[in-house]
Amino acid sequence: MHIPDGFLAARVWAPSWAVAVAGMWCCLKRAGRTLGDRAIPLMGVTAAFIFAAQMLNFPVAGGTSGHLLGGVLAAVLLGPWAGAVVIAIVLAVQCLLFQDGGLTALGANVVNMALIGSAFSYGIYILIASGSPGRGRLLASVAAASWCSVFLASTVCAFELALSDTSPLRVALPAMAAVHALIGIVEALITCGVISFIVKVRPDLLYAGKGGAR
Amino acid sequence: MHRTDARVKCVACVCCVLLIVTTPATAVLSFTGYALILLALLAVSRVPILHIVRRTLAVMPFVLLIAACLPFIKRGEVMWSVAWGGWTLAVTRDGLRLFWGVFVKSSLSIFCVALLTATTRFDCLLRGMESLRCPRLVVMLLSFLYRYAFLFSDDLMRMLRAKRSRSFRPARSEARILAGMLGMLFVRSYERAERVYLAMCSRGFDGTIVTPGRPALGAADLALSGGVIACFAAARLAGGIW
Amino acid sequence: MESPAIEIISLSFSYPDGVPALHDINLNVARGETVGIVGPNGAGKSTLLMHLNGVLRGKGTVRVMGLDVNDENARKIRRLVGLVFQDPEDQLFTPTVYEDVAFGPLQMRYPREEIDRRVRDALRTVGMEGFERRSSHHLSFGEKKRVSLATVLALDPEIIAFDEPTSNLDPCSREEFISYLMALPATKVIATHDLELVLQLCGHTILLSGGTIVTEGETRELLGDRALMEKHRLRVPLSLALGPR
Ligand SMILES: Nc1ncnc2c1ncn2[C@@H]1O[C@H](COP(=O)(O)OP(=O)(O)OP(=O)(O)O)[C@@H](O)[C@H]1O
Ligand SMILES: [Mg+2]
Repeated sequence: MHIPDGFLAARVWAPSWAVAVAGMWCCLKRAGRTLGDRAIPLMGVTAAFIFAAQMLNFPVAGGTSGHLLGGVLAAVLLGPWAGAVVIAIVLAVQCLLFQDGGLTALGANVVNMALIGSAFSYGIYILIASGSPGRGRLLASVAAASWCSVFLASTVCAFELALSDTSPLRVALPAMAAVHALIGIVEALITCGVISFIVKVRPDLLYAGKGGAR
Repeated sequence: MHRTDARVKCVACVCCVLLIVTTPATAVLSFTGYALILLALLAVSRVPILHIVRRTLAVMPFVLLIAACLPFIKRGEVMWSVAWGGWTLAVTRDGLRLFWGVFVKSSLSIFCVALLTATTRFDCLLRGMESLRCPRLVVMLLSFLYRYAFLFSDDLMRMLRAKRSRSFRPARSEARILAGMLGMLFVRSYERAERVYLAMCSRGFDGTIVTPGRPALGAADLALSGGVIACFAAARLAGGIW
Repeated sequence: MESPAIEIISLSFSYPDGVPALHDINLNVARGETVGIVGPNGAGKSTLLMHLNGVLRGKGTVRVMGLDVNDENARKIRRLVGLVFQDPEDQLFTPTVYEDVAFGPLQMRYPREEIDRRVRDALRTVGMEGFERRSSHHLSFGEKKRVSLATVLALDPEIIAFDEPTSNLDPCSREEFISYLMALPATKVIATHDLELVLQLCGHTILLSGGTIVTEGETRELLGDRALMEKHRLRVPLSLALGPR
């Protein structure tokens, strides 16, 4: 879903850069307020974790393999603000180091995967897991949020491509949505697996578990 | 090229990518010019071309998506069509032009960025971004990622090996074990972050990131990047459309 | 009278998750002295060291060169007390050796020439000159350890606390590292399982176990007490057990 350069028209990538910058500024401020000074090493090191985690291939039915994207994982662990920053940092490094996603398209990629795929999807998680959920409801909400994060990010991506006149919406939308509905299932399963492990060994590391108080 | 100041390389790279993506798809001459300039830079910098080609493959999924759209773009004159039963698949000139446009733009842009990162160490790139007024906090986060990502992936590889050496379980539970490994890795990275925070504090970190001042730019560096940007602009003009 | 380098009065500390790590610690370290802290795993050695420059704060009083450790003095204290962490990966958190060593001086807002000079001097002291541009990730473990020490030396602290300075070093690197330690004029506090090192460097030793100071005294005497050592999961160092030669 890393949009390369050249696929977006200036009328799309320029405003999305603006939105991304404003969004990140907001997220950094909020993350600093909830986590304090330690937010800096925490976000940086967690970004390294997500980056490394994305390299691990999970076997999926039919001999194919998938990997974690991590938007919801980061948000559930560090909170929506720090989570979005972490994903944006990962995207920036992928763009620079591996040319995975374009320079002009970085804004759009940050909007899709960090702001929507992480911070916004955290809202879905909170919506379902509000109160003090049991293990089942917690994992269900993680799964729902993870699936939605991938699905929403891909549909927004399709809209951006369509707005750029790069591909007509009636082709791009179903194609992206269908493929990512499947990728979303893999994402949901992996995220659930990771969270259920962490809930077992260090439940205190979940952001919501701290009541956002730290 | 490898020694050129990272700042001017960054600026040149961004300018070139901007020129590329805003060039109309019909300006074939401009694209040829860009490609020639980039190839010349590639030759000067001695970066293996295979490296660049491999990076360019990253656009493939998107190119395929666009290719899939081709038959659905109905405007313009039909270049090629196939009838099958009651269906007609037609590829129009407009569709092809669109396809060509995004393909060439994305490949050339990747060429630019790949050339930048192949000739610049990442830490120099970060320092360069910092002196270009990229927020310090962002630069600091990027450098944390760069510092620890490979440490963690080595960690992950070690865990994988340890797992392989003691289990022969069916693939069904494999995914669960892998997820557990990621969970473990997060717990470790969280604890690492706490210790790094203490290490930062004990060297006087108080929430603000201080960075060294920027050294002066060499005239040769400025001339090189100015030259590259000028060549790109010339190629753009040669395409006839501004 | 000159105030001692370190003065700790009834210090207790529990980690946020409720694990009590230190209980009623009282300690005095004179200026220029080298003190060893020994004790089994989980005794609280690392935790105690973190209190010396105030990155952890417990109940009780910690004074450094006559200064109370509190938020007000934090800056001065951090400049006075350097902490060399056990794992150099924690201490070297930036991409290059230069940035790592310069981090402390930068935070102190020294002018640029001063920072460069400090980095150069610190790297020379640990025999790592010319490594400025190398990336921290690709150093050998021994080199990382030495750069860790340099990051602290760059601040020119009066007191240096070491957490396991010799762990995971091959015998030669260990000896080299010890020679760097010996050459340092600062007051040193060394927490370690390497009892031979304690014997070699420290005049005075503290035995920490279960978060309290069990006993302290002259190093040879303390480390030579077989019953005491074995009770706290330690062993009399070989060079002592074999008797003086
Ligand atoms: N971050 C932490 N959170 C909670 N408890 C901790 C933390 N760090 C250490 N502890 C606990 O505090 C106690 C003292 O730990 P400390 O690391 O100070 O021991 P140590 O003497 O340095 O041991 P070692 O020789 O193994 O390094 C231990 O019981 C440990 O489990
Ligand atoms: Mg310890």
